[in-house]
Parts: sequence; C-alpha cells; structure tokens
Amino acid sequence: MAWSEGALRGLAALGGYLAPPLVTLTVAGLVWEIWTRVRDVPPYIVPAPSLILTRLSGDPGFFAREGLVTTVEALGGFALGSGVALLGATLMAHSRFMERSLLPLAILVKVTPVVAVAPLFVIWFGFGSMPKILIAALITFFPVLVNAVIGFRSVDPVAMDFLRSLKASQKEIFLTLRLPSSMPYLFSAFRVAIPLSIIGAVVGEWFSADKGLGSVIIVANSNLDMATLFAAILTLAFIGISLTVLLSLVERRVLFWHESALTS
Amino acid sequence: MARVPHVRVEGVSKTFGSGKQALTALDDVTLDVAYGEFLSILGPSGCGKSTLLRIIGGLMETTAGSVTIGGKHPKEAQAEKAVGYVFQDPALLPWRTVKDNIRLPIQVNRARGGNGHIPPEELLRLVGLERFPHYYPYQLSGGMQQRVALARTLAFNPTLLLMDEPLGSLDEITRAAMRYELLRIWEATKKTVVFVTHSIAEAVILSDRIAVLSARPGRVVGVVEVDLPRPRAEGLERSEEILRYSKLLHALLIQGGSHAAPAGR
Repeated sequence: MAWSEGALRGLAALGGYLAPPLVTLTVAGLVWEIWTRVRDVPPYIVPAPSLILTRLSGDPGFFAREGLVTTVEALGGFALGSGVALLGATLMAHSRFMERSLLPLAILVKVTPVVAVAPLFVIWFGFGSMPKILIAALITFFPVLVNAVIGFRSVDPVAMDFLRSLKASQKEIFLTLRLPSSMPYLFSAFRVAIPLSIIGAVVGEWFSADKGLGSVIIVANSNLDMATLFAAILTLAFIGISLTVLLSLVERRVLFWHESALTS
Repeated sequence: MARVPHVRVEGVSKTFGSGKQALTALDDVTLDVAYGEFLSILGPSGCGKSTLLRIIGGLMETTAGSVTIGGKHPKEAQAEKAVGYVFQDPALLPWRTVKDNIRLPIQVNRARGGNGHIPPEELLRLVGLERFPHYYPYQLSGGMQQRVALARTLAFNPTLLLMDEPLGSLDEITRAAMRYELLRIWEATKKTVVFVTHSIAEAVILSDRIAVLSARPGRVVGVVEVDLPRPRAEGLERSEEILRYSKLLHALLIQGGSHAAPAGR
C-alpha cells in the first residue's frame, strides 16, 4: 500500500476542513449560474460563472503571467514598506524623541489616500514597476510601523531586568529580547499588510500599465469584457488567499512558542 | 587584617517621587554581607526588600547612601558580570530551549567574560535537568522553570547571587523541596547570596544571618544569626529550633510594625 494510515487520516482531516467552504462556494456559484440563465442577464452586465471559468481555462497562461507581474509588485512593495517601517520602529522604540518627530509624518502618510498620490507617482517614477512598488510600500508602511513599535516595547520587564543586570548593550537587548518578543505583533501586521500591498499594486496598475491584473481590469472594463474582468478579479482573490496561507505557514513555524499556537 | 565584606550597604535611603507624593521605601539601611555568606532579608510585603535588592544589584539608584560590591560600584560589578539575579518570575525566553536560555548570559556583554563560563551540560546536571536540554519553557513545570532560571544565572559564574523571592511563585510542596535543592547548589558553588523572602521558616532554613526589615519605610530592625549546623537536613521545618527562631523573628517583625507578618510558613 502506498498510503499509510496516518496519511489517509491526514487527508480525511484536510477534506473535512475544506469541505464546508467548498460546498458554500459551489452552492453560491450554482445559484448565480441559474439566476443569469433564468433571468437572461446579459453577459456584459453579469457574466455566468461558467463563462468566467471558460475564459480562465481558455488562456490560463495569460492570467498567470499578468498575475505574476502584480504579485511581484505587491511583494516588492510589501518588503520595501515593511523594511522601512521596521527601521523606523527600531528608532522610535528606543527614543521618545524619535517617536515624537517621526510619528506625525507616518500619520500624514497614513491619512493621505493612496489613490490621490498614485497619478503623481506615475509622473515621478515613469511607467515601469517602480511606481506600483512604491504605492504598495506606502500602503503597507503604517500598520507594520505601529505594530512594530508596540511589539518592540512589549517585553517581559523581568527578562529586561535580567539583561540589564548583565550590562547587555542596547543592540544585544534588541536582538535577544525586543525583536523576538515583537513577532506576534509583526505577524498580525503582516496579515493586514499583505492584502493591502495587492491593493496598492492594482491601483498603481490602473493609472499606468500595460502589464499586470490592474491593467487587465481597466482594459476589460472599457471593452465591456466582463468575463475577463471577473476572471482577473478571481485571480487576484486566488493570489491574496495563497499569500495569506503562506504567511500562516511561516507564522506557525516562527511563533510555535506563543499562546496563539499553543492553544489552537 | 580586618575581613572585607563582599557587599557593603551604608546608610542607604530611597524615596520615590517628591513633595506630597513622596514615598520613602528605605530609610538609612546599613548592612554588610561577608564572602560566601547566605544572608536573608526578611520583611512584610511592601517593606522595600526588593527595592534594596535592586539597589544592591545596580538596577536602581539610591537617594542617599552607598553600596559597594567587592569595593566597587554596583554598575561596575554589573559590567564585570559579577552579579547574578534570580527573580520570583523565572522570565525565561519562551522561544529558546532550556539549553539556549542558559546560554543567554554568555551571549551578551561578551567583552567582559565574567569569571569564566560553566558549560550548560554541567549546569543542567547541577539543577537536575540533564534530560531536558531541548525542551521549551512552556513544556516545563513552574519548579523546573525556576531551576532553569537558576542555572542561567550560574552560567556566567557570578560571585554574588541576588535572589528576589525565587521560590515565591511555587506551590508549597515544590517550594519545600526546592529550599534544600537551593542549599545543595549553594554549598556546591560557595557563592555569596542575598535572599529576599517574607517566609520566616524559609529564612531560618537557608540563612547564616537574617536581617529583619520593618514595614514602610524599611529599616533594619535587627539581625539574627542562625546557629544551626550545616548541611541542613530536610525536615528542619518541623524541628524545635525553627520554632525558637520563628518566635524571635516574629517578635522582631511585630516590633517593626508589621501586623500582617506571615507566621512560620
């Protein structure tokens, strides 16, 4: 037998885990399909799911290629935004003066709607992937910054006393205590930042692109090609889910010691 | 040649806040601890015992008076890794294994190596956890975690151990066993210990001398020498001598104005 009993049981558990949402999705799709057929809804208003799936399976390479462009831009922006945020948070966690000087700036960035600055970025940084990465970075920056500052400060005071009683340097305290202690906070920030970075990349593509799912949506929209538009949206949803699942897997490995992992 | 004390506390006062809000935690405390001595500081909750320990350990400044450790300022002693702290809360790093927790003090402040390192394997044997080097703190009981904390503090071989109710968070049964465990380890390492507790029995069983602090502000009401033979055998808590010392210490605590002094734990 190729399948051990354990593997079979694991597979059954996975099936049990996935079955309820899959059933819900299938039912919703069926209702939608029947509705468009019975009421004779024109495909340029709402396409039937069968039409969207036909479009997707008709040219999967196209959606994979454009999706990859958007994913790379989103992840690039996520890395850049988080990186700058972590750097800023490190400064802010160590000095109240730095916090007072940097936080208003960060809030200004947060309250400015990304959609408002996107056209500006295109003028400044051209039509390549740079403006999309920057928009994605801008939108992910704030949640990571705020959580990282709280995380770097949320250390066990007794562990802190122990390190101080050894005359550990600020750098040593940061690396051995502050950074690992902040991981639960960082991961909840990443959870929010990952979908935001996809939004940033798509918005960037709306304003200037011949590549990526954002531009696919704009072109399909002007052609009233609803099947392509919905297929692009479906691809975006798939990217978002995949990245979130990936993040959860990393989180489970890193935060094995945390209450959130121990109680589940 | 007069014997130089390891720890010298001279006229130490500590006031928190100022003006009407001012709170005097310690008032003119003077105390010497000899090399290799086990001294307990006994007093009711909130009498400033922990504050005194934090001042000795260099985690807090005095308002008046001075503290020297081996003739040096506590901050200097810290920098030389001469002071080992054990707290009531083990405060192990949950993402590190037992062995890596014990290595922590060796990994920081590397410039000053202290008095040489003791290998983690040897420390684990000393605290009776040789089978658990790869366990994580959440997999251990409270008593085991506190043993790891003790091993962690012994790892950089400090000459002075400052213990702030290290057995305070343990259940009564574990606590009783840990007292003798602690004594065994102390006898094996021959370090100077300043031990903060509010348990009379614990102070008598462990100490060479006991300094009794009064309720706020903390003053030294009296110092009692415990003239019991060493090594001290298990079951001491039920002996006649303990009762005798308990009465004496209890009288001192009452004199110090602590109505809530816990009697003979």
